[in-house]
Amino acid sequence: MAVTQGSNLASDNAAEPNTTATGKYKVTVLRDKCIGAASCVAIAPKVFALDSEQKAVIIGQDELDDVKLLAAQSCPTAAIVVTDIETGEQVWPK
Amino acid sequence: MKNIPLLLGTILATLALVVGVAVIFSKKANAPIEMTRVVGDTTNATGSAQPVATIVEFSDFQCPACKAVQPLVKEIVDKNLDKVRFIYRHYPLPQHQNAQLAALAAETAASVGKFWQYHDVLFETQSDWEKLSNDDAAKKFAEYAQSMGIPSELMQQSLKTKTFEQRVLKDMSDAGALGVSSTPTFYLNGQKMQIDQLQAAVENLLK
Repeated sequence: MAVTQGSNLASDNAAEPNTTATGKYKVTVLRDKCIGAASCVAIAPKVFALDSEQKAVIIGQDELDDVKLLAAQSCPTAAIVVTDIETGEQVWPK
Repeated sequence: MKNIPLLLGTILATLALVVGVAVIFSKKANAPIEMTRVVGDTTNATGSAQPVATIVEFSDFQCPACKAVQPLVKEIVDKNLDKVRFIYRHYPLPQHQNAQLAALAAETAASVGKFWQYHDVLFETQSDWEKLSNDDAAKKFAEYAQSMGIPSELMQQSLKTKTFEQRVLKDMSDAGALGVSSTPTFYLNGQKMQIDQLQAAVENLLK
């Protein structure tokens, strides 16, 4: 039973991995806008990765807010949204 | 009925005018942002303070092509020091294992006013450190620092704590937003430019 539960948790984590932001900001990817330029991955490899369709996906939120913001600002199509968790305000794109 | 062509013509002309004005204003609104993205904070700049031509290079110290173009860039800048400004910006490619570390080392040297000296050394010695592990490359970078009067400990500590990481990431962020995907990428007065066109384009500006 415990093994099954553990497996489910692992599976859940794979779908929505470690999305608890450690800082003030949370990032999300607008998949339709992503062109796979991967500048976000180069800047914040702990937060972003490219999936099999060469689209950016969130793999974690454990990164400095400034780094998350720089990664979002690096996106040529503004496909990364940065939100202030506390206020709900969209920080980027403005 | 006779007025229908006139009416259609008026509508089309109005539409064209509205679209034209919108395009012009959107370009004007974007222009300053783009230029800021291209030149950055100009910390690592050399040459003229009031340039006719500003060359920006997004570069990677571990990139062989970036090393190869340095003599040409240097020649263009040195020949026109009173009219040309050159700005170096970091774009360490992820596949180059020591490129980001080298960028951090260069920024550490910049913090004590020795960016260009260190820049030259990194390109000159590229083959000596490109294949080293991160740890060994960091030791090598500390040796280079020491040889030019920057305390080895300062360099080691800076690399360990990634003191200047945000500066490097800012350049990478701007590069990404501009659509830069390879190195070296050059801009001349805000316009993307191939290296083989750079010299002629600069000379043209300086006429």
